[in-house]
Parts: sequence; C-alpha cells; structure tokens
Amino acid sequence: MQIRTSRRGSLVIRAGITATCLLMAACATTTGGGHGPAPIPEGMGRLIIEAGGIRKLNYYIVDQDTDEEVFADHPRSAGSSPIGFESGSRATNLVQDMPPGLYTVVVLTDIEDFVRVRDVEVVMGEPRYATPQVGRFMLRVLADNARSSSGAVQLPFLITDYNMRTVLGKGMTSTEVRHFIVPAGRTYKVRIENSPTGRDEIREVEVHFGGLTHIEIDGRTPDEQLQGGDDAPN
Amino acid sequence: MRRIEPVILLLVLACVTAAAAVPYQGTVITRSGDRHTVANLDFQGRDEIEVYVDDVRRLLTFDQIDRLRFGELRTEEIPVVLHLRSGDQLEAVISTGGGRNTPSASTVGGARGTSGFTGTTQLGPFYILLEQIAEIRFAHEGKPESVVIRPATVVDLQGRRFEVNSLRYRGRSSFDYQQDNQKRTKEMERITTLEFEDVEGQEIRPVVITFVTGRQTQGTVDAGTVRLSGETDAMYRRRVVEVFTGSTPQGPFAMGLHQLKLIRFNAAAADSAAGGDGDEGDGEP
Repeated sequence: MQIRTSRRGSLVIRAGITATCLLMAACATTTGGGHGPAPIPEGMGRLIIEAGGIRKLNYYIVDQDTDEEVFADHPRSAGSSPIGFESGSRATNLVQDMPPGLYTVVVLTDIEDFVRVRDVEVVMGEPRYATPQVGRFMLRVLADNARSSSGAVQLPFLITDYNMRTVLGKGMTSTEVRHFIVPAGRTYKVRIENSPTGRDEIREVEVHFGGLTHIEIDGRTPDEQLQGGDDAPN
Repeated sequence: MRRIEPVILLLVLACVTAAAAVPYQGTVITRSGDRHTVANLDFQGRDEIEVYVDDVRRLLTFDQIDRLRFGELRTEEIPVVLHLRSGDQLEAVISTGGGRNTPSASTVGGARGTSGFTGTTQLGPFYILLEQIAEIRFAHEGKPESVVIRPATVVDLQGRRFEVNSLRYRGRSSFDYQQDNQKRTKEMERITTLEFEDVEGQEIRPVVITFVTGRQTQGTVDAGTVRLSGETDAMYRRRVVEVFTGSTPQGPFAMGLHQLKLIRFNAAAADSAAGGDGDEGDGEP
C-alpha cells in the first residue's frame, strides 16, 4: 500500500514534527536541568558556609541553646593520612538546611586549632552565611626515585607555628594534588627532616582566606630535572 | 519606584551576608603618636591574636582584650602587655611574621615583619604593621564572654595526687578528644571529670568524659610518646609532657596524656584566685 500526500500536506506534517521536537526540547531544558539551589524546605532555614573557595570541610554545628551537636560531617581524611588527596568533584558539604535557631559552627582543620563561628542565626526560609577564616596550602616534594609520573613522593612533615616553638600538626605529602586546611591569617612553618634533598627542609607558609599557597621542594638531581617534562623547573 | 528597588535589594543582601559578623572598633596609636579611630578592626583577617606567655602559645580573641601596649621591636617579635577586660594583665610576646621573605631569612632569622591590623576609618581603608603600633584601645560594647578556669584534682598512673589551679589543655580552656577519628572540643568548664583508661603500651587511650549535666561520653586521645621526625627537644616536651599545665602551691605543673589517670574539676569554687596571670577568658581557636 502506498500513501500519497500532496506537497502541501507534506509541509504541514514536517512543520508538525518540527514543532513537536522543539516543544520536547524546551520541556527537557526547563524540567530536568537541576540548575540553581534547591528550595529551602518548609520550616527550615539555610546555613551556607563560605570558606573562600574550599568546597569540603570537616565541621560540626552546635545548638547554642542546648549545647548539643546537631550536625556533623567529616568527608576529609586527616592531614597525616597517607590516602588523602583532592578529588575533582564539585560537590560541596557546606550548605545545610537547619531549623531556625542560634548555632556555633566549629570547623576542624589539619592542625590542632579549631575555627569557630559563633552566634550564627538561622532564620526560617532565609539563607544565612557563616565565614570561618580558613585557608589552605599545598606541599609537593619531588624526588628522583618517585614512582609517580609527576615525580612527587609521599613524605611526612610537621606543621609548626612561625617561631617553631609548638608542633601544631602533622601532614603527609601526596603524589596527587593535596591541600592542607589551616586557620587563615597566620604564618606557619613546615619542616621535613630526611628529605630527598638530604637537607632539613624548613619552609614558611603564609596562609590567607580564599588563597592557596603552593610550596614545592625539588630534591631531584639536575639530570632528572631536565628529563622531568612539565614538572621540570624552567 | 524603580530606583528604590536596587537599594532595597542591596540592603537585604547586606543583611543576609552580614550574619554572624562581629565588628570590633578601637583607637590605634602609632609610635609617632598619631591616633586613628578604626572600625571593623581585625588582625590578618581574624578577630584573635596569637601570643606567647612564658613561651606558651595562647590565642586571645579581641572580645577579651581591653588594651594592647607594644614594647620595643626585637628580631621578628615584639613584647606586648595585654590588659584584659577581666582586669588581669598579661606580659607576652607577639610574632611580627615574616611572610614573603627569602627562605634563608625566614629560616635563619632577620625576616621583615608583615603582620598587621586592618580596618576602616572615616578616610577609607586602614592598614598598619605591628611594628608601627604603640598601643591599641578597643571600644567594646556589652560584657565579655567569660570562661571560668576551675581548680582541679589530678591523679597520675602512680596514684599521686595534685591540686592544680588554672588547669589548661595545651594552653587552652577547652579539651580536645576524638570520636571515631573525628576531632571534638569541649570547654573544660562544662566538664566534671576526665577518666583515662589504662591500656598498657597503647598510644591511643580511651577517655570517659563526664559533663556537669551528668551526661557521659567516650572518646580517645593520642598519648603517643614517639618523637616525630623533625621535632626538637623543646617541641617534643611541649607536645608530649606539657599537655595539661597549671600551677600548684609548690610551683608550676605539667603532665602528659600518657601519665594521667583522672582529672576531677572542683565545682565548688571558680578559680578566681588563679594567680592573677590572666586566666579569665582564654582565647579559643
């Protein structure tokens, strides 16, 4: 059986198909995109922790009226853990819907000091911001005998205060990208003994809110540095 | 009407984003005698300063400080007298910092100070280096948040008993512990007893914390005595031996987590006679 259509009828059918496709595409972009923040649930307020570009923090929230911990999330491994590294995920744990009230946000860092933001008032139906003064630094150590293609090695190090009077924390460098989160606005020192350079490496780290301080210790021999590709110093 | 809308929007935005901000203001007097009335005063973006009292690191929030008087500049540090709002007075040393210096200067010494106070004046933004300041007088409103340091009875693993005043944990008024590898901190004024379980040869010691409300919680503390790579004798002593510090009638007191059995805080009397060394209201990180 053969269906014959006139030229005019064919145009009408084509126009109909095109209109249907456009309508479906429009529906797809308006309903399934998932862009923008989710609405605040009824009866709740929204607490947004603004950490200067850091997307994940270990923190807990204490209700100031009852002194009880009402929320805790610790997605980051300890600074001294050998398995820690930064993932490329854009997901954040810094937005939390809470019942209205007065809260204290306690942010855990990779040193012994906590960063507290007191008197954060969460109001029903509104977003409120808490800004803990935290910053981050990155320490890479490059060595000849590195197993990674980047030349980076894993080494333990100490984080001390500027005067090197007090050990504030321990860390472990990574063959991957790894950030260490510390209270911002201070200058620290990191110390690596028995480093690949054969020296006792002491480096100063100035950490600011919203910034990322890079430190690189290159313990490679000159030949290795020349072969080091992208990581070789210019 | 259309002109008003953006203004209202900006006002609402300012109200929303300004939540939890506690601006401090005060008068900054320079070494040349100039006075500046400064609002939104902060030190390196923070409302606390790190000082050393008798070589022990302390963090003090602006809320606890009435006045700061700076002494003569030394290499990378300045002596400072802190007049606290509680009426106490602390003689301390503050580091001038050394960011953006050469590696040799920051390691060996002689670095140039970069730490300073920032804020706003009627003329605009304000920034001053620590080494240029003679005095800062804070203008506070309301009462300071006080932290009471109570006397405590400390019992070690040998059964020896010490009556300690001004007991602090790593120079602070709060005690840190871990639960499931997650750090926690609690003000010691809310704690009645700390009971450390004796596990022979274990670096991680369980601790039972009893709060003044009667509630109990369990956690662990790192009582390791192994020296870390790169740790000097002084650092090791502070990290391992001088964990709990205070004063006894016989003299200074210090004890490590590996030596402790029990700490019982005396609820009867607040440590108002703690020796006048500024024990009211410790700063917290």
